[in-house]
Parts: sequence; structure tokens; C-alpha cells
Amino acid sequence: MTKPIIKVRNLKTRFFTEMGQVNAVDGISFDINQGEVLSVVGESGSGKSVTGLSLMDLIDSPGQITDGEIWFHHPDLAAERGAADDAVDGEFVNLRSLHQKARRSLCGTELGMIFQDPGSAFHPALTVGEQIGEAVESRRRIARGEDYDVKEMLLDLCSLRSSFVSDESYDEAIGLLEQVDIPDPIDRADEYPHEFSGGMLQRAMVAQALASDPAVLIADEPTTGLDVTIQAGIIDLLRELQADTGMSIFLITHNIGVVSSIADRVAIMYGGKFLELGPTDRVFEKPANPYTEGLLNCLPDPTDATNIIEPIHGNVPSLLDHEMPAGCSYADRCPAVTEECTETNPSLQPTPETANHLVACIHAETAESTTTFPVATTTPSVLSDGGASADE
Amino acid sequence: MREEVQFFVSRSLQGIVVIWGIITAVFMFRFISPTNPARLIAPDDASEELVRAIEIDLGLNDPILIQYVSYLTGVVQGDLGFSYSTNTPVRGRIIQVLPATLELAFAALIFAVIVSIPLGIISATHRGTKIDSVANLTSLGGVSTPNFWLAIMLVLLISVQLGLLPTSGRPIGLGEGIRMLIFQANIGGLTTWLSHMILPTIALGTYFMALLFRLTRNGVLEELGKEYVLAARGKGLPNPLIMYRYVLRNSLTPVVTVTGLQLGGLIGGSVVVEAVFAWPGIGRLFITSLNLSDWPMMQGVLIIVGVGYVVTNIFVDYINSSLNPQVELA
Repeated sequence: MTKPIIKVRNLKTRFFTEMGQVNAVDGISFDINQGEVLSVVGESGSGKSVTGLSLMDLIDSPGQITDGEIWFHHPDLAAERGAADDAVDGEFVNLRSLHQKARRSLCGTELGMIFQDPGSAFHPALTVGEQIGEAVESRRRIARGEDYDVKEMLLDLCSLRSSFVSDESYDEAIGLLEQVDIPDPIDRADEYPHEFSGGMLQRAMVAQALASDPAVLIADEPTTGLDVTIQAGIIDLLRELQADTGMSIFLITHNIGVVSSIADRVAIMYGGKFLELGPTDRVFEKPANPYTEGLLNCLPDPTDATNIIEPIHGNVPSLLDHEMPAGCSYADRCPAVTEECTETNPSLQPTPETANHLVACIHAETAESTTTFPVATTTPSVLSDGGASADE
Repeated sequence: MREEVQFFVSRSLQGIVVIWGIITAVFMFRFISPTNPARLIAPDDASEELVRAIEIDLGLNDPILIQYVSYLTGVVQGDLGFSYSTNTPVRGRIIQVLPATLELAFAALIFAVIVSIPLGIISATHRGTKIDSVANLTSLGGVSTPNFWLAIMLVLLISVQLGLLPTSGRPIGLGEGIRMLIFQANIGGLTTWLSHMILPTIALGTYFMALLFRLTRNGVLEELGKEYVLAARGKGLPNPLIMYRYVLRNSLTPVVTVTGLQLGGLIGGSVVVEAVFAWPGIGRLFITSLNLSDWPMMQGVLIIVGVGYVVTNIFVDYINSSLNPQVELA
């Protein structure tokens, strides 16, 4: 039942700045299963958003994906390229070895993205309907295999219509606005982003991502900056849409409340690495990594006034290559730190009770797995739900 | 539509106030001048009586307020007075030389825009490469080269040394060239016009081109970092479309503003270039009048340039508001 749709192996994204090399994503591996919500939780600066942008291939100079593979389940493309191709493994295609054009055409058709701040992710001078219409139109054009280059654009500009978005696409955009429960979609489509409220604009953002009809939706902090009631609305909407379309959602957030209400599995990210990965209930009930525990202790409990919030002291480590500690990146903030922690860099290992609950901590009890975390292109079963769970 | 009408009406009313201010200021300038126009007009050996008579004839002995009111009523009716040196209507003389200046100003404007905007885009998208460095260096040169020096160097190199283009003058206007083409099927008029246009256009437009290049490059660089550009790529939009619809649109706002301001500047600021190329335009007219203390002529020129500024600025505001819906027409 749980087949992966994206398999990420040893992904490394670096930024080459004047300060030095920043290891924003430092060799992470995970699967996103079909129809699941995988959530990545972590503090600001832990590399969550860069992970999402890497999946979309939206990393700009001075950043670069330097290593790793992103295998995407795309039987058509795999068949088209043939099994002999290095970039093909069964029904999976390695996005990293695709040409830029083929790669780009997957954004907007198979992969969609919701951005953190809809106020800045919509162009202020174009109406919302137009912008969603563009997403619909570009999906349609890619599906028809049409090229759109400077020549086509100039022809468009010279023609009387001089518009990229066809009427059908605009109508579909109105339909999408309706689908995300925006009242009066026909009128709202003709309004500019600054005429929308924050919650409504985030809904429009969701509609824009849906325009691509994505197999995987990458949601980068979709609820940050919204009122609690509106947050709940957006989460409900995402859950509904996921149930309707069967897409997978890669949810980036720092809000644990949001995670527990929607995510099937959760990954705890810190210092460019995953410290823990497993089913949401399992991770939150029995956190195996001290950092996860620390995060949970930061959660206030509104029903219990005596509940003491324990902040994690210190700051997120610098991701600069030359400043990164040799051992565990969490070592200097960790309450359970030992000397060994500062020397050994832990890798994700399955916990004894649940095989699909992985933890990266040398003090955590781990199953007697003899090998370290596999980085090969073959699917390690423990990475996805599909692996035999010990508690089932 | 109603908004637009309202905008133009209210801005025109404001414009009228500004123009009234210009006329008043220009009128006041005359009283700073130490020269007595009557003496300039009169022959060198004229008697005091003759000078007095001319003064009375010109109305110079009237109270200032009366002179002011009569000048203002004249201007409102389109009468800019008579030239002291030629005793012909100022308006007629300005209308005669205005096309030469307008042609030159627009040519310089078009040259600057056509070169600077694509260059700015290329430079910004190839940031840090050789193309960018060369373009930056060129624009630095363009901004820091005085246009009279550039004009002289162009003439020396291209006209005198290479003999490719004529050194100066404007033997034929654009309108005349077109008329020759249509009625006599003779393209010679237009080519003559063009060959005389090229050097003054480059001399006048280079500074402006370099300025617009910098504005475009910075604007595009800033826009490229915006999240909506990332979002546009994320939804699969083709690159040229992102560049046109998402990046250029916002980065052009300062370009349009400066273009409008500079157009007025090009009309008024072509004085030096016109002098170098013996261009029979409004700038040269102004210099000649200045040398002769021909106040009515100078006043007329200043008023026309001022009106040009005001009108172009109204249009610039209008274009800006249509580029950006957040700027409301007001």
C-alpha cells in the first residue's frame, strides 16, 4: 500500500557565500510515500526550507545541490528514457540527472509548492486569478509539449490578445479558487493580492499549487504568520485536498501542533540533518532523540497552568562548514551530552521496537542493525512505511 | 475610466499652478538683469530721448504689477511677446526651432531606452560575469563623461578622422524628409536627416543611457531575489515570461520615472550639445538670446521647457500607476 513517490538519498545542498561554505542540507535521506503527509520539523535555520526548495530544484546561486539523488516515481518518463539509462531505476527517475528543461517541466506538473508568505509569493501587480491561471496554462502547455520561448512571447505581445493565459485556464483558476473555499471566486479572481486577507491569500496560494495537479505538494510553513483559527482552516483544507486528490504532502513547519494534527510521519531536522524520523504518534509519544524531547518540552499546555515550559538553551548551530562541530550537531545544547558525542557523528538507525522509527543519537537504543544507514540507490525498506514494522 | 478623467483634471489643475509659478519666476528674472533693453534695441549713437521713447514703447516704465499682468494675460492667450533683437513674435520663433529639439530629445530618449534596458537585463542575469563587468564599466564611463566632451570627441573621430558622418548642422527636418519620401519617392531626405541625427543623438543620450542601464540592472537584480519570482519558477512558467511579467514590470517603475524627468531635461539640457553640433534647436536659441539679453525670447523658452516638464510628469505618474495597482491615481 505504501509505495514511495520520492526517494531522497544523501542529499547535500551547499551555499557558497563570502563567509564560507554553508552546509544547509547535509546528506539527508528519506522517502515520501504516495498519499502520505510527511512533515519536517525544526527550528529556523535547520535547513527545512532548503530541503523543500532542493526538491523543487529552486536553489539559486550561490547555492547548489552538490551531491545525492532524488528519485521520483514517474513510470512514463522512466519508460521513455529506457531502463538502460543511468537516471532510471525501475519506475523511478533521478531528477538530479535530468536536463534542466525536463527538470523544470516537472515543477508545475508533478511538483507543486506553497510558500511561507503568500504576501510576497504573489506578484503585487498581477491579479490573483491571472497568476493562478498562469500556473494552469503552463501545466497545459507542458502537457501539450509546447515550447514557450522569447519568440513565442514576442508573438504573443504583438498579437491582439497579448495574453499568456487562455480563457479556459482562467476559468479553471476560478474553479480552483472555489475548490479552496474562497467566496465569490469570480470577483476575487479579478482582485490583486493586496486586496486579500492573509488567510484568503494562503488559500489562493494553495489553489495556485493545486493548479499544477501535483503528485507531491511541498508546503513550506503554510500556516506561519496566520491566526490560529485560520491556521486550522488551512490545515483542514490541506487534509481535505489530500484525501480528494491522493497527493503526497511534504509539510515544512516548526509548529508541532500542526504536525500532530495532519502528518502521518514526522522528521526532526537539526543542523542540516535528520535527527529522528518516524510515525508521528510514535515520535511524539516516545521520542528517541533528546532534541525531539526538548522540542516537545517547549510546547505549552493550555489546560495545565503548572506545566513548565523548558526552553532549549543556546542557539541553532552555524551551518558554516568550518564552524561545524565534528560530532553531533546538537551536542553543545544537549542535556545528555557525553564526550563521545562531540567526536562521533551519529547516523539514523532504527529503534528496537519500531523499525520505521529511526533516530540519530549514539545514546539512543537502536535495533541490532549491523549496517549503518544505507545510502545506496536501492530502497532501504526501513525508510518507508512499507518496511515490516516490529509493532505490527 | 472616471478615475482617469479625475486624475487628469486634478493633475492638470495642479500643473496650471506650477506653470503660473514658472511664468512668475521667469518674469521676475528680467528685473535682476542690469541691462536696459531699450539701449540694446536703440542704435549705438541714439539720443537719450530715443531710448526713453523706446522704453515707453516697450512699457518698461509702467509699474511692475501692470507689466506683470499684461505679460501674464499675454501668455495665457498664447502671446509670448516680441523679441527685442528681431522684433518678431517669440512664439513663432519657438515653434520654428522646437521640432529640431524635440526630434533630438526623442531620438536620444529612444536610443537610451533601447540600449539600456536589454543591456541592464543581460547584465543582471549574468551577474559577476565578464558581460556584466564590461557593461558596468561602459555605464560608469557614460555617467562620468561630460556630453560636450563626448560630442567633440565623436566629431573628431567619426566625422573628421573617418569622415563617416557630417560634423554638424540640420539641413532637413524629419517632417520634410518624410514629405520628400511620400511625394517625390526620394529617400535622400530621410538619409540626410538620419546621418545628421546620429552623432548628436549619441552625444545627448549616452549619459541618460548609462543612467537607465544602472537603474534597470539594479531593479532587475532586486526583483530576481523576490519570492514571487521563485514562486513563478515553481509553478513552471517559462523563463522569458517570468522575466517580462514578473521581473521587468516592477523594476521598470524607477526607469519610467527617471525617463519622464529626463525627457524634460533632454529638452532643456541639450543646450551644450546643440551648441557643439550647430543644431538649430531651442537650446541654441536660448544661448543666442542670452548673449543679446533678449528677455522675451528667453522667457518664452523657459516657459515652454517648464510646460514640457509638467506635462511629461503627469504622464509618468499615470504610467506608473498602471504598472503598479498599489499606486493609486490621485
